Amino acid sequence: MSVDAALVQRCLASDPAAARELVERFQTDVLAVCRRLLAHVHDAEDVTQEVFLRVFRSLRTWDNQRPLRPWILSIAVNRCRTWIGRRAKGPELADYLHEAPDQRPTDDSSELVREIRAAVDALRDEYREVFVLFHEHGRSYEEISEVVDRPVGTVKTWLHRARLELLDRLKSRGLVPEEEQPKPQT
Amino acid sequence: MLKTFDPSEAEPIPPQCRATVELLQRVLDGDERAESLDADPHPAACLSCRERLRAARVLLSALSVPNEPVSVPVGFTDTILSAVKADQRYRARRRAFATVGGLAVAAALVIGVWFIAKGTSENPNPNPNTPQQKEVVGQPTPVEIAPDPRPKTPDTAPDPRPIRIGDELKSGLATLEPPKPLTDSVALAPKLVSALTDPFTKPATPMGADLEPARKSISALPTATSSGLEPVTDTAQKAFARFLRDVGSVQPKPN
Repeated sequence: MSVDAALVQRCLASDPAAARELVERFQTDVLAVCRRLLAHVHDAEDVTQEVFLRVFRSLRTWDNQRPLRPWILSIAVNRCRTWIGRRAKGPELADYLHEAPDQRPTDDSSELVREIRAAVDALRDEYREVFVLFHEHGRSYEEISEVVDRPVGTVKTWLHRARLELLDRLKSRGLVPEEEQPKPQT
Repeated sequence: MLKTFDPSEAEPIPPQCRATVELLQRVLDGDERAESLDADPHPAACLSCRERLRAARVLLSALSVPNEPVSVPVGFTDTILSAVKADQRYRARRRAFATVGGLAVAAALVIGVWFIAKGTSENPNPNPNTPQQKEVVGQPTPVEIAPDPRPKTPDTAPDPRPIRIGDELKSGLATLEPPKPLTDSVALAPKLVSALTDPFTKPATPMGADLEPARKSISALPTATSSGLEPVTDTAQKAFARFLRDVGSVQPKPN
């Protein structure tokens, strides 16, 4: 029996220590994915809590032949999609509530990271999900395929398109240096 | 604002650039090291691939910046666990209510079926007079409006055995005898209607002897009306005669 399966078995036996272990093991990943996909700290915390409610509700349906992390992340991604859809229908917050002042030091690299993040936020939901999971969370194609419930080939295509869009954005923002023109021969 | 990517707008990759583009993808996937891009001679001869290469280097440098670590708020685990416990308690309570409700409905159904079966077995022919009843022309027989649910003198002695629903169900008695069909009640309806309406539609029964004084009194009404005096009926005459007799029997006291 795998470590994941043993942990789930203990959770199903109503072992409070096992429940705590499961939450502590995956909460950072879930919270990070939710923060990146929702771009809102408090929404991310609410959705993370909702994700774990659903995880514990449906632990019996988990296939113990498969790894637990992609399954939990797939629930997180689905909840984020639902939340984004719900948020789109709800009233819009005032602009000043969206953005908190950034206290981080600004240099070239942080500016580039901010640009990349802004570009990622502007991506389509599917592209953003695979980009965040691949480049920011280091998940493999196979794992992402399980999380988004699409074939590996589709994941690769989405990731490729996401990169192209990002490059387009970086070029439009002048962050890709222009090619040095060859000096005219005298 | 970045325009939405449309695959149909994607520029086709020329065959000579395909190898470079695939190499770029492998590097971005992490399958190849970034140094392998330097070994590719094609970008030096192709403007598009040089642009792709520059953009890929920018992207790689941006992606190489480590993400800021996600800090979990203090007490977040406890918040999640308490929410999970509350959710489990709520769901367990809801399940219990659903179970109890289901059992109550099932028990009510069983008891209802048993009562119907019991009522049918105690009164197999609810209207035994119906087939034998014959109406004499000109003399309508009194119709029983509602059958007595419990006969005053039962034909059979009550079963001294205590009633057990389980036994009835096991032996199949509760289900073998079906409840009284609705058609029986429907068949009774015309008789009930006629019993209710006959007194008003058919000629009245001749008055009995008890009502004769009243009839005489009423018949004397026209005369009384013309003379202005109340009619004297037999009853009044008898009462007056009794009064005189009593008065005559009284001996006056000497003063």
